[in-house]
Amino acid sequence: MRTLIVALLLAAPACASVPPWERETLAHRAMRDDADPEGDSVDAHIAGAREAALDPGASGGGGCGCN
Amino acid sequence: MAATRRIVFALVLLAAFGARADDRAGAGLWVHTDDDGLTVIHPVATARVEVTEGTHVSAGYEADVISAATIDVRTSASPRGFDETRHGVSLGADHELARTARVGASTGLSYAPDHQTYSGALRGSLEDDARTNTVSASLGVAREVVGRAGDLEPMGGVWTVGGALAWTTLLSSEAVLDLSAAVERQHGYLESPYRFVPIVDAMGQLDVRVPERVPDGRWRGSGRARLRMGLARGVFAVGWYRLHLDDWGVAGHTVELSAAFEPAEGWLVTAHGRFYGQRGATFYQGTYATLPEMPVYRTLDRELAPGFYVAGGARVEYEAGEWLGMSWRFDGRAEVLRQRYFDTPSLPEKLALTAGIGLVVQR
Repeated sequence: MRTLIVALLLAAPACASVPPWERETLAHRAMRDDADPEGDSVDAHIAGAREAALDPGASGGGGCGCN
Repeated sequence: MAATRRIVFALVLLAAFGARADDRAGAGLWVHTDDDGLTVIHPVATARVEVTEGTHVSAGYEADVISAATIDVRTSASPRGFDETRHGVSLGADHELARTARVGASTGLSYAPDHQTYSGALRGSLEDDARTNTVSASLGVAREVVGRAGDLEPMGGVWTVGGALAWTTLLSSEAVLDLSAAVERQHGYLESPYRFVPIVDAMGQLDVRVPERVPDGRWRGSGRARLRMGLARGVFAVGWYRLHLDDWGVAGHTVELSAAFEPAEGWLVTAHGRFYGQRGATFYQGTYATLPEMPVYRTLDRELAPGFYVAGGARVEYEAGEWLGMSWRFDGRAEVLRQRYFDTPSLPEKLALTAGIGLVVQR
């Protein structure tokens, strides 16, 4: 948890305000978190069967302004 | 054949419902097989439609058609293995409270003759006005009923309560950082009712087989950092690392790297590699002995053993363009996995292949 908080603090200043007309790359399906829900579900299902690890799941998914 | 009919039915439903922009439906068929005698056919279908301005409902169906003659099954349940089908359905709804705020709820049911799961979850997300940062949170609860196929009464049940937090931020017009964390509490019957553990005597000879037993409660937590980047026009890379810890002593590390590129208009090719390594549970042993006394906790669950795997695969997507007023996308993928277990008396290695095809239609 301490590592996570430090990572958050380190990353915060790096945030960039990106205008909508510069989000073409961010909106590409290779960059989107919600582009393949069926595949993501299957990947999580398979990983859950062969790993003891808990998956924190999908991220916020936003940020690109294209949701 | 029944699975194919369900997928076709889901697509027909989408065609009937798909009246608004952003509606989508997807269907896929996966096959997983390994050299431990396990074959799983996994059809999946989902649909998501906007029912009123800013409100979406979603539904999903999946199944696992399982043929198993694994070492676990052969030694513990049936010498010939078994065939079983699990069905899962889910329903969800989400609503856009404002341009940058969304809430949602979902519920799910999974049914197999020896295992039922009922689950529900709430989630919300909030973006800043510049749409640079997104924070999301979710809470979920699940109830599992665990038994043995053919038994009249279940062996027990498990409650699971968990929550997750995630933060997504833009680093630039070509890079996104995601940080997420989850914690979960399980309580109840966490054993497999099919698994019996051989206990050896002082001479190393089999003394007795006893039912598996593990603690009744388990705290699990994990954190993940992921970076998504556009490297050049039509070239992308994603990398992430995940740390898992739980109070059974398991510590897991996962690293996955993938790269995608567009070789031609409408095509996207993605290759990925994944490594997972874990420290086993503190009470896990390859062999349990009656001396000095019968162990309180004993398991042969290889998921609790130390070990690692490496996996690699590729995926090809093709955007076929507009037809019948909808955009169509096809994909095919395959992955090979090599898993190595330590301190497991049977099947220390496993080779697995997973392959699938998918179709997504969207308005």
